[in-house]
Amino acid sequence: MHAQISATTYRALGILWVLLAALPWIAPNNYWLNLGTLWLTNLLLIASLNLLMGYSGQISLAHGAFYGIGAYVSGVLGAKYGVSPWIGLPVALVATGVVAFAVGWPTLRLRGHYLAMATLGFNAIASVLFVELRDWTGGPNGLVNIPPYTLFGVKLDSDRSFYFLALIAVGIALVLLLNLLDSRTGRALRALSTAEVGAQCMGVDVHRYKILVFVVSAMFAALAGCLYAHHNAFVSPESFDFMVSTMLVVMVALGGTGHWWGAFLGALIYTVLPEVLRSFGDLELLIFGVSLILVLLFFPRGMGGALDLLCAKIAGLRSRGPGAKPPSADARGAGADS
Amino acid sequence: MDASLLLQLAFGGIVSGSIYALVALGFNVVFKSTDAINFTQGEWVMAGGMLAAWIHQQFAWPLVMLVPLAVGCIALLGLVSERLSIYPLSRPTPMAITLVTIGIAITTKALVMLTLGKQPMSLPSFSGAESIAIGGASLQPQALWIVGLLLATMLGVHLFFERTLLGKAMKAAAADRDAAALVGINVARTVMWCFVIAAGTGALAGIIITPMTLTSFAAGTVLGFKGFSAAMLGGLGSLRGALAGGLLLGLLESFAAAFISSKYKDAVAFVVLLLLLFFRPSGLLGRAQIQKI
Amino acid sequence: MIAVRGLSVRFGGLAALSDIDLVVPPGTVKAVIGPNGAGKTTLFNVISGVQAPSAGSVLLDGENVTARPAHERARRGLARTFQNLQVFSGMSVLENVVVGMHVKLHAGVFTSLLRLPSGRREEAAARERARALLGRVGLAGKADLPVSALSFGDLKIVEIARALASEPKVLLLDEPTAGLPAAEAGRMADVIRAINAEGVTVLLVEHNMRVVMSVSHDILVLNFGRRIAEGEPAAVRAHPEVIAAYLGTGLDAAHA
Repeated sequence: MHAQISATTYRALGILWVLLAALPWIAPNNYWLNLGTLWLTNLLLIASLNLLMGYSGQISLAHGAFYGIGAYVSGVLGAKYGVSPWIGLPVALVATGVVAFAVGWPTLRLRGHYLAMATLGFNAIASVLFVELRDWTGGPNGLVNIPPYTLFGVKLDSDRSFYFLALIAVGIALVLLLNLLDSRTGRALRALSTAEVGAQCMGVDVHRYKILVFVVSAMFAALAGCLYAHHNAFVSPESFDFMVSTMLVVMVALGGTGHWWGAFLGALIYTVLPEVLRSFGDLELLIFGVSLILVLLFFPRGMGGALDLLCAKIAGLRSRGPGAKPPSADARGAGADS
Repeated sequence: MDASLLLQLAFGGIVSGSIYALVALGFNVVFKSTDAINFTQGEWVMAGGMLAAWIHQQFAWPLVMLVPLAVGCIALLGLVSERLSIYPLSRPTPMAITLVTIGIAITTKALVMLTLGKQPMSLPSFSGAESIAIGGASLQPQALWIVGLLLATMLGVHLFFERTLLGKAMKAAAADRDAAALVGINVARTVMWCFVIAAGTGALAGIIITPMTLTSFAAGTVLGFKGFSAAMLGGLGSLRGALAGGLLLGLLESFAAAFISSKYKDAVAFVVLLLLLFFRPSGLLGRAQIQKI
Repeated sequence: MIAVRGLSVRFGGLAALSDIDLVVPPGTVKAVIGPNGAGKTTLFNVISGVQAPSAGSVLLDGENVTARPAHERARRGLARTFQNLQVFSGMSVLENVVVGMHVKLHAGVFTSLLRLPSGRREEAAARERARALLGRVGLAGKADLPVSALSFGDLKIVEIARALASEPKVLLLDEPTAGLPAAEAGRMADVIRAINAEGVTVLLVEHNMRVVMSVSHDILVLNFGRRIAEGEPAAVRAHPEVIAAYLGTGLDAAHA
């Protein structure tokens, strides 16, 4: 069952964000800050893909492409045309949204495998374009000289300043995402992902909602792209190819499709794992492959699902006997915010 | 239009298309029995070629020994992979199996890298390297082996599914797991055999293309991707679709590279795929899926 | 209220429905009966917009809706339940019913994204109404349970509550008593009559003859996709072709 979103969820997110804001002072060096920034960007990518996969049941293997379109549009505007990244950002979001709409409209009439294949095909085309539109993108060697964000004349290119920018941007995005899920729109999405015909007969314009969530999730990926481009000052096509898209899908599954906190865990794995494996040298790939298989075997519902089970067990232990109400009913106050 | 140029392009397209078709075959066999997409297929192709090349390098054994040995080893690898990773799945949904094959693919790639090294390797051509001239175009003899073995393998797999009891049992299990189980078919076993066949045919494909292209531990990914694209074009799950899709992809790439642009040839293939998906989602030869309300 | 003209549905070589005409006057209860495979659910699927007909037209409140997709028919006051359930797993019973109100609520994407007060107020009111509706059908105590915790029979009632949530003009009930214990079937008949008393036109597919006879103003009998009888309950009941369709020929008709 999709975990209920309640006031508690918002509060938990708020507390987490306050804790994260303290990272620059807790972290022993900038390496951790950079890791934090990377985690935030990955969180945005995985949470938005989770919205698509977990809450509306669509498989997309094009998420890497949208990440790339956001990065390249904002990056090219900044590097080649001297446009301020603050303007590049909304332009990139809108451009990605338009592309997602154009791709989504015919594609989202397809189901299951066909949708996966079409999105894979689209990602492949995007990869070719990233490489071949050399005059803009810089070709296979990538785009360089991407300017950083500036605020009141100050460049936000230090690890610390960018960390705060990412923290705020991703924080806002996640709140918007939560809002969307806990609303009439979110409910319609969840309905169409579990019983499409039923949803349709209840008045949900299924096709329109599928496109909506596809576009929204693509725009979040584009936001991640912008953050990445202007922090890294360099982007290249391999960061956005179908392997990346596939890995993102794997991370959503590992975190637990449709579990809100699953995305946080998935992003953690995606960020930390390469760092941990690096120290193993040649064995890196082998350990990764075997670990992946093991996790998939032992956590069929992903980490988020395991977490849910754990919480349910704890709640079950805490309740005072058979007459007690399930915890979810208690968490809801006057019934207005569950 | 220069006829010999067209012929040359067609040859090139058919040869690469045959390779894609062989890889696509493996995808379709696994898809038919599990509804899942087997990400390991490309790695098995690579592993077959690498193993054969390595044995040849170390022991200089003749082809007649190399081929069955390498194919057998990789088929065994497929079997072991399935037993260790797919069989224990508590809920073998297509998505779960697909994800696990990603893990197997990475593991396989890593194993090959660790045991056989990172250097590219090759095999000598099966029957010499003298090009044959046909109608103004030239053809390498290895190409004939590729096309010949493709057709033989397709025929073999077809006969297996149509004429043997095990093959028919696998088809039944693919069509309806529960009904097949009820008539006494060990469904989990049929899944295992599918992986064995996919690994074996993949390895065979890898061996016969290695003389024409160097192979290395990283070569599997792209090949798998192309093979999957071919499978999509032809219709997932259809053996004839693998053949049609593979040849179509090969020819599209060949002609697009010549007449449109060699840079955009990959994009052309995918544009065709997208168009096909929008107008004929089941692919060229696949069957449309019907939902009962 | 509902009218169907010359409706035919073919699946390949199989004619699921052949040239069906049907009229359900506003405010009445019409039952569609017939042996399994007669085409009853197909008829429902065409009227609700889930299945496109091979020929013929569907009219809702005088308007030709044949080309309109299902969600637009819902918007025009059509609601239905499903023979094999289309409940939204992963949601609570209450949330399922609130989905039924989708056409009555107005919060759009922006209102949702920004969590505007108008949207929040609407949500709170919707939940209250859903709870009240569940109370009316006797499921108030189970409102916050996940749907996976309820029996098939209970879920059929949840679907009815969900359909009623949209305040429909026309309600299509697909085998409402299937899965209910015999004692409950009588209560279901009461519920149907109560819904009809509020002015809702009801079209129902049902196998339980006692319920059919007690609630319907009119009955249509289908067999092999064709109409074999139509009329008031007493007339249909005695119709020789109807008896033959259910019981075959050569059996004592008095036991029908």
